[in-house]
Amino acid sequence: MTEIEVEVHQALTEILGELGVEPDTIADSALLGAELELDSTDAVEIGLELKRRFNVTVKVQVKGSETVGDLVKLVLVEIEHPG
Amino acid sequence: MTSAERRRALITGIGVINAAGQDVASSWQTLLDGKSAIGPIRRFDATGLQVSLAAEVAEFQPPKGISRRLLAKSDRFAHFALAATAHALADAELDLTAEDPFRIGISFGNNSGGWDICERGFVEYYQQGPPMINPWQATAWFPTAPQGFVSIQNNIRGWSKSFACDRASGGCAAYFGLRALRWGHNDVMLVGGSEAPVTRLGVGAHVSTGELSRRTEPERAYLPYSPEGTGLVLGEGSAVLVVEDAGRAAARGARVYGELLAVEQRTGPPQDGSLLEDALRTALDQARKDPGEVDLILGEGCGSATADLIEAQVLDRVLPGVPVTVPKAAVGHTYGASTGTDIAFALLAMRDSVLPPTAGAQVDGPNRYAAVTATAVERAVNTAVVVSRSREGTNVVTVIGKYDKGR
Repeated sequence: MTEIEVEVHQALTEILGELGVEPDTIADSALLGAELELDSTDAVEIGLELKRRFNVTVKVQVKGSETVGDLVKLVLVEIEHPG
Repeated sequence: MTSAERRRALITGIGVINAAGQDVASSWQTLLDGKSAIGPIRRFDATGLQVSLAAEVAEFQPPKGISRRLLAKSDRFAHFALAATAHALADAELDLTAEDPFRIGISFGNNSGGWDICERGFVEYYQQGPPMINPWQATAWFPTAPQGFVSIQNNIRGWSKSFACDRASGGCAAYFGLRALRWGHNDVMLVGGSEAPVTRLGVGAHVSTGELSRRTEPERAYLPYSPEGTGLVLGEGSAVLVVEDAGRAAARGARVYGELLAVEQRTGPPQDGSLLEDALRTALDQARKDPGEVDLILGEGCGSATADLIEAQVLDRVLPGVPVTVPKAAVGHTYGASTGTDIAFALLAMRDSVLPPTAGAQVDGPNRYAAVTATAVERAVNTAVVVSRSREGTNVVTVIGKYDKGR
């Protein structure tokens, strides 16, 4: 993993931890909605924290098949190609 | 429904969280020891505020079984309510998963909402801009949030309400909690309330009510029924009582602390003591108790010399010579949680046959408007009166008694 990938992973683990998600459940393959049981308000809060930390605007989806790994990729794309 | 057919409401479980202790046993012991939990504010830097004291719940420990996810979305005042509810249900040995959720309800008091989350929201708004306000601001702040989160946590779906009425918020919750049972809406009510105003903004806002003592010595800050009283000290915490229909309590062999006999409410000009007197006389009448049968009064005693004199004159007229105790002098005034807390302490006084002392009652000597208990006195308590009064003139009187099945 590149340095920035590690940083995004770590940030997401912290953000999810503050939402009360148990750290050992946060795997790249974990489904945000179906497995981590995140709801739409959690999605908003994750988006706000990513904005604060990386100044990126990411639409976090919790109702579909989006995983933790997908979210990391979305953040990395936004960091490299803003907008 | 005639009074003969009236449903009887028994209290079968108690849960309390306050500055004197995070469970019934420890807060009751602190109270009996005559100790006060009032001290310098530690939750935040109170520099620049006109008030430096509060009764804080130090190092609050949420009970197991409440997920961190739920705690992250809710405010401190909801956490207190979740904890007190868990304690009360465990104490009552009542497993709600085996009950009809539509026959269980909640009646909670709260005056000021969730200040921790408010402050966070204001910081986000003013420093980062409107789009950065956390998504739980609205639902976590709102004064009905404790009712909502306790409902979600325990799958409660019956008739439920929350009441905001200044210092009498918890009194109003008791008033409607009893009626919800008598009207037949529910068979079990969780009655009480929650309050967590001890944040920098919360204290600052309460100062503007003029209700708060600005003294800096903890032992002289909150002096109920004293000519030297200059106001109350804010407390935080929650109290939840399991109030249950007598028939079903008997059917499941529940342990009974006492009976919620009557709650009456009168509202009018705050300087008019006749409204409190009417509430008191009516409540005693509804409870079928003579004034001479009352063993203990848990007074409002808000620490304002003017308001306390009005209250004490009424108590002296209706219940002359009956000892008065004010647990708020030990745990601070918890507004929405205050009546539930006082009822809890009254039930424990009945259980243990003791009149609990009023913390600091000896500090300014005997010059009190009311016969305030200074030390714990061993004495049977069969009937107790709890008084709750708001700044703007709501008077709520609750009468509880030992359960006499044959009455």
